[in-house]
Amino acid sequence: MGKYAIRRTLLFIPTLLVATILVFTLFWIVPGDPALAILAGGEGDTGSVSPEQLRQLRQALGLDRPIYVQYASWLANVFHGDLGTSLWYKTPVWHQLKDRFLVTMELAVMAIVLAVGAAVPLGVTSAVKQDTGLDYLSRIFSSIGIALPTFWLGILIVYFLAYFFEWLPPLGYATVWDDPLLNLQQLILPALTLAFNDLAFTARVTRSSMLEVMREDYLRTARAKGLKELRVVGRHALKNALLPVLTVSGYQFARLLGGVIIVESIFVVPGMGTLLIDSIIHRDFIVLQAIVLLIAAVVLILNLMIDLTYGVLDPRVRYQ
Amino acid sequence: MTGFRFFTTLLLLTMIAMVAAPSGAQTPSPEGQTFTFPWPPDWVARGKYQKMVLRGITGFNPGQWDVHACGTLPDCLMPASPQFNGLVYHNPVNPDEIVCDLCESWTVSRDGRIYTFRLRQAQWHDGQPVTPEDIKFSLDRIVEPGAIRVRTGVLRSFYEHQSAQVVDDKTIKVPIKFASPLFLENLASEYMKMYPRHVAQKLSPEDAQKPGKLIGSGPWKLKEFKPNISIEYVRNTNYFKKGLPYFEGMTFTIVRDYNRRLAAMQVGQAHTTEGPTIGSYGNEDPLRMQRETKGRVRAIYIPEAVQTYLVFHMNKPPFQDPRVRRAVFLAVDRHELVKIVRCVDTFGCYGSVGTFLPNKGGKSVESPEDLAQAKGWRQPKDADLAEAKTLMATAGYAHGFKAMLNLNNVPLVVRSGEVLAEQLRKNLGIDLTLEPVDRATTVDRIIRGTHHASLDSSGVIILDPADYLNQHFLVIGGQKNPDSWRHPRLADIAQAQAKELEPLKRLRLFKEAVEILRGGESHVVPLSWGSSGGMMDYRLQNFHVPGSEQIVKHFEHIWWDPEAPLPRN
Repeated sequence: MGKYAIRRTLLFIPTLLVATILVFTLFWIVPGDPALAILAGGEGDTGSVSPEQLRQLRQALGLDRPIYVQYASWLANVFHGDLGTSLWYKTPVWHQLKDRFLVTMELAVMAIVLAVGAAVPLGVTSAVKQDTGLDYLSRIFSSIGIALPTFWLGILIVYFLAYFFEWLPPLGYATVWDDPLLNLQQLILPALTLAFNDLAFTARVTRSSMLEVMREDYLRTARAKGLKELRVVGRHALKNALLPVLTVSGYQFARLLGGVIIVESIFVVPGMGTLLIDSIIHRDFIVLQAIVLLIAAVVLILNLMIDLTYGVLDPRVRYQ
Repeated sequence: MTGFRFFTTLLLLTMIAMVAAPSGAQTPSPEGQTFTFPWPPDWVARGKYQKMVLRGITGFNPGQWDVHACGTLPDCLMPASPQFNGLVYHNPVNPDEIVCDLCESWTVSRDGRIYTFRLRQAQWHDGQPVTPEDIKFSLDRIVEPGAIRVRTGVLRSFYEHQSAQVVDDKTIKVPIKFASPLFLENLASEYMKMYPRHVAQKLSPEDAQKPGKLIGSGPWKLKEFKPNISIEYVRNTNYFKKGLPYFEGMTFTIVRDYNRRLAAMQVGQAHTTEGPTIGSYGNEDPLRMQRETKGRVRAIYIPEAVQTYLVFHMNKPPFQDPRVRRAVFLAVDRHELVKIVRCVDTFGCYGSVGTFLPNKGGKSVESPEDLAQAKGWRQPKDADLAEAKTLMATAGYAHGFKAMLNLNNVPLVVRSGEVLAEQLRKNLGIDLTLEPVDRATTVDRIIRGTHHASLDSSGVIILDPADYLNQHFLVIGGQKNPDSWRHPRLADIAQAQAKELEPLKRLRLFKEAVEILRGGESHVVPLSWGSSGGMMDYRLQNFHVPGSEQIVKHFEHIWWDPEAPLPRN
């Protein structure tokens, strides 16, 4: 298992490199550059920018160098532990990223905990009570959850709260250490929004996996031995049904990191999602590259952890 | 002095006085005409200080804090401005008028070429006094040769680098290249801020753009800028304008999502938007909010603040042909466009067909009667369309052509593009394909001339008809004149109006400029003027709508009246 983990970890490097090269290339294909965003404004009103001013600023920012030189220079800095300086904010990227990363991770963890915490009991109940009213209700709920786009649900929540209750989560941001209650107020609604879709999907996977396991011979044997139904379901069925749920949850968590981009904007959460949007608007490719690198690393680590957990849950799984 | 010379001098001084039209006490003296602005003016005592934080929302995440260098309103000027003062500025309670900010008086020499400013007793945020050396340093920094000066570079036309002279510890003499009605107008721009020499001269251009590096003398000190979260200011307790500002602090929360900003105003999470700003609320939403909150949220609009226009790219056919440009100029039905794009049945219109040059600062070049007769504007369109079709036929495009239109993906701009495309298809057979993209890409495409035409918009910067000429014809080859279109007489007029002190003669020059532009052969076709909108809690008092969204950005004059009566809708 150790060798397997090391081999997988080493594979991270080419994967990350390819991801950064892809983003870098795509970024330079898109028209506009940081100098233009700085002088002409990323949005809104613009000045009367002259080509001479643009040339001057591009030179100052090092944007007049060939693309491969810029990439190599960025990569060399990364290998030295320096993610670079934001072209828009003029501050080290890491300063921005570390706070934002924690906010996004907190939001994503809250969402996945909410989703899995509700989805597993819902899926299990639905499977155990197959073809009853409870099962139908649970399936309708799941279908709605899967069908509703996350951004739309977020907008609906904001709209209804503002229009009917004249209340919205407080603006600004407080860390969980500074003010846990305020932090909860600010994050609970975006977490619920993010969780809803995952909850529905995970509940469906749990249900079908449970239904499959519950038809296995060993469960009939367990019941024949006189074990209580709760023990049969909880100990024998659920443990074996959880493997696909775990795979799905891992995938969902990685997907959440993408989903936060819109939800963070709607609920004014200062996480990596909003930073990502800003870096695209401002053509701040230094920040964008760092975010991509970080998200890719998190997803790779997550996948590895899930793979390694298989072995713990199912001793039959062996690592080659 | 002979009678004739005395009379001419008196006449010249009167003209300069008329152009500046300040409300301060005016005193003729042997040196010239002096305008004095004693502190405090009447309105200051009416305000009420509240130990509270003014809560605002903004949709922008600033990245530039050096207003001398930067080029944009929301990303730079809006957040930076409250920290600084200018030498002069637009009176916040009567925004068409220019009054002293850091100065307490100015004297214009008899020939109109030397301005002598006497400073108030003011301090920078670090406690150091504001000196004439600081003012000289700031003026020289603004016009620094070779430095990037997107908005402030216009001062180079008037002020020669290093030419100001410190007279004594309170007085500075600023010679200008020629007597001009536009010098003070440009100096009053919010971008022409004064910086402390002992701080600014140590900063590299890059460091100066970082938040909090540059300090000012303004009503607010920057407490903290949290990217994508908030911009926090604290009251400058040592502000030289005693009694101001009226709040303990000011926090602008950065809310990128438009609907979330509206919701924040609706539930009372914010007292104000950042003020009217281009593109933010230039539609019926502020009035809708006013109605839905039963008047708690007040809608504010700057009428005719932003002009939307079509830019022809003349680097390729068909718009390199002046006949085709004129045909399009004539064929656009501006009245229909405004009605569809900028009017809503319930709330009325948020724009107008407008004029070529902005009618701002009490100066009007084109009257409504004149406009009603003007080609391209007049109704019905029959005669204009007939001429446009003839022009297209003589240019070899009797059946029209296909072309690509570059435009921003903001809904209002896209709607304008759609209406324009339909009009040109119907009237001239021109088949426009719309390619909406984000702002940076739109500008990039304009500069590189990748499309046949672009739809762009621009706000009024100075309250003078010259603003239009400055923006579109002063910078050659840039975003607003990508193919360097020139007209010899128009260039002469642009120069002449800046030197013309007699208002009537200046007006005649502008009228002549309009006649040339109405020929429809330039690179730019005005389509409509739009309002710039914002929202404020009804308890915020003393806000006076300025003529441009680029001025009155100090937030020093507004106060909170908890007992203000709720206005009726």
